[in-house]
Amino acid sequence: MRKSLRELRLLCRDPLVAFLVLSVAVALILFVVYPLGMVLVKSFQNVEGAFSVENYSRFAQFKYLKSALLNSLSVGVLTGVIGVLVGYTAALTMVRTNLPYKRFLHLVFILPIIAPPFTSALSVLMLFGSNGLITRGLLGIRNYSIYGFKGVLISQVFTFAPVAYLTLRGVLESLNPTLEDAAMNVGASRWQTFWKVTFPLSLPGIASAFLVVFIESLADFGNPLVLAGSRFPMLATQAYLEITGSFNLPLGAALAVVLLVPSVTAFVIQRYFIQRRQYTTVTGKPVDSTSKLIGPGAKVVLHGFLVLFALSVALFYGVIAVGAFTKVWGYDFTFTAAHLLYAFKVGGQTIKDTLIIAVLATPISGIMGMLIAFMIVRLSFPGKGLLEFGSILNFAVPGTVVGIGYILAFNRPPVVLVGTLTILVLNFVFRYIPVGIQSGVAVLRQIDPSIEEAAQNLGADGVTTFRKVTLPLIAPAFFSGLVFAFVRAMTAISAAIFLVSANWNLLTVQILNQVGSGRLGVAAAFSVILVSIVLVAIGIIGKLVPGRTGGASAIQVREG
Amino acid sequence: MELRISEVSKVFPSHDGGAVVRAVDSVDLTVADGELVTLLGPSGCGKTTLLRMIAGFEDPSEGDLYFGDRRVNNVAPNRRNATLVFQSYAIFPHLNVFENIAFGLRLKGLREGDIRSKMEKVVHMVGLGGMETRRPSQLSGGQQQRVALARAIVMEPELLLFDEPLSNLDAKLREQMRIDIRRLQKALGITSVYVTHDQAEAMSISDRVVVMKDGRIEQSGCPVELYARPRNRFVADFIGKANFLEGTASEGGILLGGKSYPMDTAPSEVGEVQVVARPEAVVLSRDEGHFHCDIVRTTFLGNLVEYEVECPNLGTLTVHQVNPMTGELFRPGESIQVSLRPETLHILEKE
Repeated sequence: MRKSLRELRLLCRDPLVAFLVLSVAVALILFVVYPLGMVLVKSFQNVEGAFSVENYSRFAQFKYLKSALLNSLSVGVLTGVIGVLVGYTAALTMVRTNLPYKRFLHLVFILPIIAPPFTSALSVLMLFGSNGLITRGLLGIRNYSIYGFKGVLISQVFTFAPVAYLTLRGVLESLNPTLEDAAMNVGASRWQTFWKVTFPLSLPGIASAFLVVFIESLADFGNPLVLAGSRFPMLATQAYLEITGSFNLPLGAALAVVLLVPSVTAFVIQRYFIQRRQYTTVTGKPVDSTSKLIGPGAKVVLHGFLVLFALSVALFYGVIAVGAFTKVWGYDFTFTAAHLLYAFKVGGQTIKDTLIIAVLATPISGIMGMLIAFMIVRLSFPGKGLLEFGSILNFAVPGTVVGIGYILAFNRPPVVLVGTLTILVLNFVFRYIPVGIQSGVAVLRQIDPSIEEAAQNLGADGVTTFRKVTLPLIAPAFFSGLVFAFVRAMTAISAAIFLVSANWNLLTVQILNQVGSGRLGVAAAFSVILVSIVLVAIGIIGKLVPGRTGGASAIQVREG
Repeated sequence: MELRISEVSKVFPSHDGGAVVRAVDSVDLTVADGELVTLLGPSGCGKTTLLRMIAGFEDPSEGDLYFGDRRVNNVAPNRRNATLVFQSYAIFPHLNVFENIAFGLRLKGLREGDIRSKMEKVVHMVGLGGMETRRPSQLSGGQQQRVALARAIVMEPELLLFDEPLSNLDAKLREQMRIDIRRLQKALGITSVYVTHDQAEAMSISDRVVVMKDGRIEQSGCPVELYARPRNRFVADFIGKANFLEGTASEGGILLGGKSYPMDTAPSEVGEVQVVARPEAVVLSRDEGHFHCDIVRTTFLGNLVEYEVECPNLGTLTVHQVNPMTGELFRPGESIQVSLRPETLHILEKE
């Protein structure tokens, strides 16, 4: 208590800083905590608005709703397991063998990350749907149904395995290969070295990657909406359907709370129990060890697997590119530009809207992220831990929950924002600051305070030090955060779908609508437009940023 | 076991597509049974690459490696029985001290009882008694170093390898570890190869020192030999401090700065030569000597005084006067008489 009083007094010595801390705290309470609280409150109300537990008792009674939880959890666990298997294999091969075309493979693997998260659902339909290239075209199967468990699983594995790959690549790169040399040096075979050294040391990273994929899978909205079908309900989409289809806001809110529980649990485990246990054995000077961990035979097998996976990713995105220029997918493969023209005609306004929202949200989110990162690393004030938790909480909260929270919180006085541009921008800003914060914190922690002290020692004041020393050092992380925030703002769907209106619509919502009405060609055309915009934007930011940041490499800050 | 390295080279493709890099260039070396040989050289001289080839982590591009009569070029690192003490220690962070040291024994499938008795011996040998259950993160740098050493010797290897094992320790600890490693190696009688860039470490620990430069062996010999009779300027400069003097050699002796010095053995070449005079081979006196010189700098180091002396005929000399407490100290600016001890002068090969 006395400590926090002293911290408070110290903070008040600098009124500007105190004001900033206070503003951030207020903003987080208003735009992160308050909407979540509203979801919780609403879930304990009946349709008339009185207190009631009827939503939860309905959930416990109806098999259909219960199975939504079960389905979401089982898809989440399985996506996590398969995603980690694929991601770990790919990461191990990339880190521990030398391939001439490594960089190219890496870019192919992370392609799903810059595409909207449900484009793979579109690919699944085009490949395995009733008119699918493989099911009908190659195998000649009629009336095949890809909807349900297997469709969602395939689609999610393709969407989220790259996330596991990036996380695990970072983990393996921080494991000193000398440890493997040491094991072999005292008699361990390659197999023994892997199981007794490499694997146990990467286990915390594996657990962490699994939980991250599990969280993302639970929160995923686009893939289940396209592929789950009515006989395979899943929580995120069911909550949405209760609200938009049955206009049952309280039940939707209750489902959102049910969804929130496993997500936040997994997040807390990942962040507060597992991340701290990770071994970092690369310290100081990098080791130039050509590890012999992977033998020639294993190398061939692993390379084969890598190439196969890269080809699958290429196939998934290839069909979308082809589909965008094909008359009727599955029947008439003649070239046409009609879909693209149609997309520009009906979607011109939407493209503009999406760009305006992303361009507005991106810098705000980036600057706020850096600001909060600076507060976390360099300042001390009472409630700092809470502020940090509040600012990164949105990483774990499924977008569906946030979306419901926003319409509950901002659809009546004093704050009426539903249907405006503001609510969409606010939603993106607060959903994606965690990325800016994480990369900012990582960079700031690496900057030895003595560097800043040196500048002051040589005569620079606080502001000059920040401008001339700190800012240039954190700029790369700042721009990496920007790229990610922009990509996410362009491709997000789960929260935004609750917030779009006739005035302000988003490309992703437009794509889902086209898929819903069966116009796969137009949906593909929109996807091509969207991915092109993202790639151009990454290119532009990459050109603007000096050094090796920006560009596609910036995507790697994702899991920070 | 004898280690024989025969015409071994290691060629790395260059990164920028230019000429290839010969990290190790036709090295011939035999390490006798029970001998400790040090590979000494500046960074980038190929000493670590050579060691990694012996351990099996790199494959030689040319030449052969023999452990005794066995050619090991194609033997996997885990089947060589040549254990390595790593520079970074490479302690397994997920295992405790006991499990780290027992790692190799368990792989061998030894019975737990045998492992315990071997462990007990080695743990006390390296001075880690009572720390068996500690985690690596709870150990100091010196203790981690001892774990790495214990892990290597508990395997009772045919060949013990050291890759700059002491470079991360502070000076005092380093000296203690040198003595401990030397004592252990002699007691166990294991043939050893030791890599370092620290000449004092090499001199104090080795039976024989091999000086390397640019992937080649410059000179190989016992510490005294390298110090007293370095082959060329590089070796003389790398080992200890040295004054290099230009002189003229003839049958009878050598002419330095206008003064003729007799040599014990006839010089190998006549005419213009380069001579090395160690700092303690120069004698300073107020009364008698061969050259008139001036003291430029005096540095008192406790066991010796180092002088920088400016000589009109010889150039600038570094001079060590040992045991300064018993003699007289010269001050900067003082004029002085300088002479050389002829028996310590050594003619270098031309480079």
